[in-house]
Amino acid sequence: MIEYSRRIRTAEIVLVTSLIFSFIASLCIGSYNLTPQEVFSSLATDSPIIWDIRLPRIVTTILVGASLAVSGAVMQCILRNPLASPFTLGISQGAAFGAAFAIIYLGAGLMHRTGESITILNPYLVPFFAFFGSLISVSVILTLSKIRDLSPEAMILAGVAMASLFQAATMLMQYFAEDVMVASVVFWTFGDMGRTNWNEIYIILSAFAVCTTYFIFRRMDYNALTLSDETAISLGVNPQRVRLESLLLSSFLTAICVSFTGIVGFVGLVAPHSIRISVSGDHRYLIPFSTVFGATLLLIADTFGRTVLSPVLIPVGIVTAFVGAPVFIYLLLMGSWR
Amino acid sequence: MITVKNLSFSYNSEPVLNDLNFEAREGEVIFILGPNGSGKTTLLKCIAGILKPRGAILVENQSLNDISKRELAKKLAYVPQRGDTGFLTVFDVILLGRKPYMGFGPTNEDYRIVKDVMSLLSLEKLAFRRLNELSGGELQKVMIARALAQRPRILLLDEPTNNLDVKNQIEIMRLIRKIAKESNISVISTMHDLNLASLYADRILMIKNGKIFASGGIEVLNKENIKAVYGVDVEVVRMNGKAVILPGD
Repeated sequence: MIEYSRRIRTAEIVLVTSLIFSFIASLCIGSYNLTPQEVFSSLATDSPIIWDIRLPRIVTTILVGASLAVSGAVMQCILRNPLASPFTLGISQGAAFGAAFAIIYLGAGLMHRTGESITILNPYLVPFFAFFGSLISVSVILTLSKIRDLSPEAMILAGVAMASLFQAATMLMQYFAEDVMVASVVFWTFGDMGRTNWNEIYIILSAFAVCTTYFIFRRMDYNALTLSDETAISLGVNPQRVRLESLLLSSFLTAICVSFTGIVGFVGLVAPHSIRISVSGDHRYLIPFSTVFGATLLLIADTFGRTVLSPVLIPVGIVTAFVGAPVFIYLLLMGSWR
Repeated sequence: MITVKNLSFSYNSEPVLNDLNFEAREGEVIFILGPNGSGKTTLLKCIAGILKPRGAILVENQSLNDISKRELAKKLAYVPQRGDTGFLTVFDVILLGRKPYMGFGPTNEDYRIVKDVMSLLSLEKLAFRRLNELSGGELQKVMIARALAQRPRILLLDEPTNNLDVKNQIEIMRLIRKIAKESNISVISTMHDLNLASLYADRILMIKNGKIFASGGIEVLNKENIKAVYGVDVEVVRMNGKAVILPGD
């Protein structure tokens, strides 16, 4: 009893401290290194390096890491599939397709001549289509698991199929789009944290706050759902309803993140798993801890990506893929869910 | 306590249960016996409110249709056959038994009840082990503990002694009787082992093809009924008011 609550306390302290530490570190580190003192003094002023470049990027990274991790934790629970995550189920790819569609065909975004950057003109239309795209993946996976009792591995294979379908569709749009658009749509293939403005950050923040509040409210229902549906029903839980609402909200949160930052893989898989294995599978802890850990992971990955080959910035999606893919294969080999 | 009237149930127009009537009283241990596929588990699921049958089920004189799932969970607990497993700890799972009573989260009262139940079943040592590290007997005890944490008036058990060794079987059976008598709970359990049933039952329901073939005290476990329900020849030896069933020739 004492040992267990000590483990929870320790995890809490370690996780929060490392988030704060990596937050301060990534404010300091960059093409122009600052000391922590300089950072604190420029936070008080309107220094452009901090307020226009580093802070928006870091806040975006924290929010996106947290959102993807919490979505992954919820999906793994409600689908009873430890390999589930926005990325492995093809939900992120569906969202990226929807977002690219809105930009190319509905004129929701503005491509710059350099092909390097993109300005989202309509920050509501793009997420709307991204959400719509993610729902296609969700409904395919839900239908398949209804018709046939899919094993966790088979469900992920269906997700992989959806992911490649959406990637192909996105590429097809690029193929017919103007040259300048091509490079900018690549943006959704590799997640990049450096393009958001404060308005977009507020949108991500609101979505994160609403969805996470719901997830925390449902934490005991998720615990009940780790047992069989029959047991959950006998405890007064409505599995169908909790599952549908949670899946819609986690897809929505994923879609919002993808709309503004592109596809970032494996955070939603790695963060909840690390917590489940090392701390607790109880959703009262799993949900908040995964959120904090996901934010920290992505922040470290992004800071690494923008400093390791400086002045070249490596999109964070590439960094997480290099770390996440081996972990995914390891999980597959371990079969630790059985 | 619980009354079942004219209960029928079909899976995709395939009739499984056909016009069942019985009742369970306080503190009574009832075993439902019958061959595989006779509808025992379906009957339990109907009473637990998981399946929607035709007919009436009254729990403390209230129709099952008029009680919300959450309210029902405070009166009636169900332990399915296949042991649930996963990453939760024993403590977390037993705490789930308090779910129907919870507002936003567990209260000190909930934690106290979980501790009481754990000490009743001597599970304290396992409290922070994960379910997937437990043996079959331990898992079954945890699931019963979770059900008891619901503080139910009625306890439904599906094959509680399946895959358990003799020691665990006897332990679980004694425990179930003790709980029924001490807390005045009615226990309805399906069972394959006729000898265990004859040792620990107050009343027996024998089910054949979705109908009640015989019901009553352990005297219904006789040669003729067993032949009719299971289609096997047996010898029934009476010892100290208990029946021992042996395969005949």
